[in-house]
Amino acid sequence: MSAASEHKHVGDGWGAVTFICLTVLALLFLAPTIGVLLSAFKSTRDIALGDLWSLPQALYLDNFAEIFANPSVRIYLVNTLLVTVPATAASIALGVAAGYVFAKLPFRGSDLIFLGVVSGMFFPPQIILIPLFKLFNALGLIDTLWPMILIHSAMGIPICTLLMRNFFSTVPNALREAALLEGVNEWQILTRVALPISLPALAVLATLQFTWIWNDFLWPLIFTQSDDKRTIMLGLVSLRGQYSVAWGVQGALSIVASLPTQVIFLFFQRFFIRGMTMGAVKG
Amino acid sequence: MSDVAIEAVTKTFGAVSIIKGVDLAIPTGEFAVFVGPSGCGKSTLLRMISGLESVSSGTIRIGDVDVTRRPPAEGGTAMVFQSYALYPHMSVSENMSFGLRMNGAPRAEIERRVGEAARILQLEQLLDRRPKQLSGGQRQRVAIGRAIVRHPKVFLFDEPLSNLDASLRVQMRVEIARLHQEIGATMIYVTHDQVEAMTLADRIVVLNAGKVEQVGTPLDLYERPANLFVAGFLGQPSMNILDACVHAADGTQVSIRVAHGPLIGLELAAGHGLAAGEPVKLGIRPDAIRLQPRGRGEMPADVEIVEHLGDEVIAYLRLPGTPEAIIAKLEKSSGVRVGDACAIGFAVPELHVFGTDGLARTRLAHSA
Repeated sequence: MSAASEHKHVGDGWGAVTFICLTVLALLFLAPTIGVLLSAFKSTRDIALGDLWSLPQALYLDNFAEIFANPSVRIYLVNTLLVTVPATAASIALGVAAGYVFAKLPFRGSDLIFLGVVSGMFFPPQIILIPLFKLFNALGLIDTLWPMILIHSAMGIPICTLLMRNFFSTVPNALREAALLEGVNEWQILTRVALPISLPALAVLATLQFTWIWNDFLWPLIFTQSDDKRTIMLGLVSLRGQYSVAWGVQGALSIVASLPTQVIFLFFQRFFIRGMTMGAVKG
Repeated sequence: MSDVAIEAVTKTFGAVSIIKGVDLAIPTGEFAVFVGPSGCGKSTLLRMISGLESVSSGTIRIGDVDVTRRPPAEGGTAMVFQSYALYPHMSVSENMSFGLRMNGAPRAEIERRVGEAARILQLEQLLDRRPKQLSGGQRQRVAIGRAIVRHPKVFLFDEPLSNLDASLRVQMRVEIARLHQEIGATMIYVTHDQVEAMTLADRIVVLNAGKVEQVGTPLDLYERPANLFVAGFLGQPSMNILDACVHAADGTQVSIRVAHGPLIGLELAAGHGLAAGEPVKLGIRPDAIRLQPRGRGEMPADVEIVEHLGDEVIAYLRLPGTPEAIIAKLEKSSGVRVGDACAIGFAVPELHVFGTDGLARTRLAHSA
């Protein structure tokens, strides 16, 4: 056996081991999702008789019919959108502005401020939970959507600033200088030059922030009380009966609740293209 | 089109001084080339003219306007960057028209100017392409086009050809020279490539360590370098610098003894300040060296290395028993070979004399 073919043989062996490990991991991660997916299509009787992994006797769609008929579910979805969209937009907008300044318009002490902003990522939310509750209580905003919008906007700033600052740092300075020499102002440079070539970073941020805020459970739990202010993740938990857990209905709602984040990912993934700056400078 | 006046300009970064007091006047329509080794401050000076770099002290005027503290766009300059700096998400025509569009120029005017620049640079077929679909030379032409559409008072080029391969560089060099002839604007061009400097410039500004060493036409600088730095920097291969000593000085008549070599009589302009016994440096261009049979020439030498460049031959010579090496540029018919024992003859009229201060002493007439 030649050295080359032996090498290839060894490589194949490792490839197989890697493949098996990854498959097992993927199945482990997918298992709960598959369980929920299966129970969404089972009747309550079906669920009671079989186990989580058994296939449904027949394709049972009443769980979906039930959640679509439930007016609360619509309110939950609308509330979640009302929190997620503005908070995602606000955190990204602030992150873009701050990131541009830190990357392209540094000033004395800006590195220190950047460090301070980014260190905000490492605060566990539990630490600020009680002060924030007192604050929003004093402002009379408990049981409204405002606390969630404000908190998610603020808590998104560190990651958005970090990501955008790092991405803007890769945008060649010569592009900004060329635009400055043409009499283009800083705002136009940001919106017409820097942002269009930063679409991959924006897509990553939009997906991350949307998913994170959409799936949030803690803050709505703390700041909302009435049913018509709940977001979808709280609604999911509140869907159980007094004495029973409606696994099928919860499974169906879980699937519906996860759809927007899937759509967001599918929509933005086409912007996850590298090499947008290719050709800008020597390439 | 405008003249550029730079007066006592300095630039410091903290304690580090980058530009140490530069005075320079560039007349309207001139093609001036800043040349110098890496880190000499030539790009910094260009960026100060553009307004992209602040000026620590001194003034810069373009035309009659003091632009020292003005924002970049108000100086009326346009810059072509080494990296092209094209907007990757815009087409060629969008790249060229971006500044005009952002400043609210009328659409018809934008189209007219882009069309004119595209015609001058032969970019008409490429207007809808993106930068990544262009070759290096085409990208650089677009970058120049973007400068042209602005109708700037002064064109600034920051090492625009450094990223191109050798043959394309020659081609673009010719195109830039042609562009200057066609539009006749004032152009300032920064390069570390002395061939670009010699071929393009009306006048060359040689910079070293933040100071102007000499300003003059390419031939002026080549034939009458003001000091050892300019003498060594311009010319390929570099000028040979030989240790020598003043043998006798009588008025303008000076005789100089070359170390390991002959006694040479020269006539220097009055005020040369050289006295007998004073060490000097003698400079001689490689093409002013003649090889002769051993015994007939003034300095014996051995041929160490021979480089055949086709139309000419570069010979590296060593003076026996010394560490000194001399480079000679010879005709291809010279028949020189490695190991040849020969002698060096000087074309005395082409000798340059430098004092211990490094400054050149002016030659008057020549005597052997």
